[in-house]
Amino acid sequence: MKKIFTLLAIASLTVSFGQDLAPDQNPNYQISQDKYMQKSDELTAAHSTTIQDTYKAYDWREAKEEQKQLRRDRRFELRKMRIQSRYPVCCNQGYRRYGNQGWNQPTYYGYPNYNYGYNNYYANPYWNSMYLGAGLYSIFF
Amino acid sequence: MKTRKLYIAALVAICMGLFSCHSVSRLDVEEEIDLSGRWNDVDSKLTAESMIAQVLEDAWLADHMRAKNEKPVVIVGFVKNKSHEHIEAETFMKDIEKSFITSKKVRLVQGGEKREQIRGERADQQTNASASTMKRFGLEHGADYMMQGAINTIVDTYKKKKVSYYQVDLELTNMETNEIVWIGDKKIKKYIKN
Repeated sequence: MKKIFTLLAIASLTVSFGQDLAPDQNPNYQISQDKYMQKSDELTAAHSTTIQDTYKAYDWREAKEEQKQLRRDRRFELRKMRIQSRYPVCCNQGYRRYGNQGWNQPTYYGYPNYNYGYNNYYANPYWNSMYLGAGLYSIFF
Repeated sequence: MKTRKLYIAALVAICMGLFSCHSVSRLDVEEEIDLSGRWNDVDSKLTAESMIAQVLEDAWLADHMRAKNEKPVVIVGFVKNKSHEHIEAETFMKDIEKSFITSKKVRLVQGGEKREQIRGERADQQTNASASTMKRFGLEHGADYMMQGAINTIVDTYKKKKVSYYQVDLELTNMETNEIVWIGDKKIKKYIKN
């Protein structure tokens, strides 16, 4: 009797499982479905967008220009380092901020504070515009 | 004396203003202007026109109508830009999407971030909208096909001469069978002399 019930249960399960499948559908489809149901959000996030996966094409002129710019930057860095090594205190913004340590004023270390106009990173833009204004005034008036 | 100084100052200010000003003029969007030789609006327009003609005239549409007796539903996936330039595919993809709707031959469903926003709004309606105007979940159209694409380029340069070749490929894949039913392409070749 038990055997008959077991067989009936298996048969009914098989029938119900078989009914879910479309003709010629893979009986293991559920494995794949479960796998992709887990990450559907992630997979559909890029819909209607352009994924930028660009490469750098060699261009003779661009390469030449880049080399030129590199040389220019290197020269500038060298000049900057040379000035910094000669006058290490001039660039110490921490001390310059406090007290009267403008151009040619003795600094914390006792060295004069030379603010070179050429390639001067550390000049205050506010003072630059003031000097420019004063210069223009002296030319015209 | 003082007024003279003021006049001179005003004149200087006007001169400086004239030197620093720039001009802007509106152009006709149909006008073809090529400046650098890189991908531009003209290429995008040419791609859109070619793709629209191909996708709406190809056999996949008639085949679908014959098999299902209803208009196909398409969702737009991503376009991968594998070229050497930054190209935004949305400029020509939107033209193609628009042609689907205006031609009334293909139905289009929303995807990506915009779909998420719509679902978010629908979720909000479940608690805030009146029962008669609230929209229900689970009634979206399932897409029959997904449109995907890629942009590829080949660049050949020698001294001041350059040839850029662009190939834009779009394809439609059946969502259930994974079958590619249509492939369209647009090839653009440019000779640039600097």
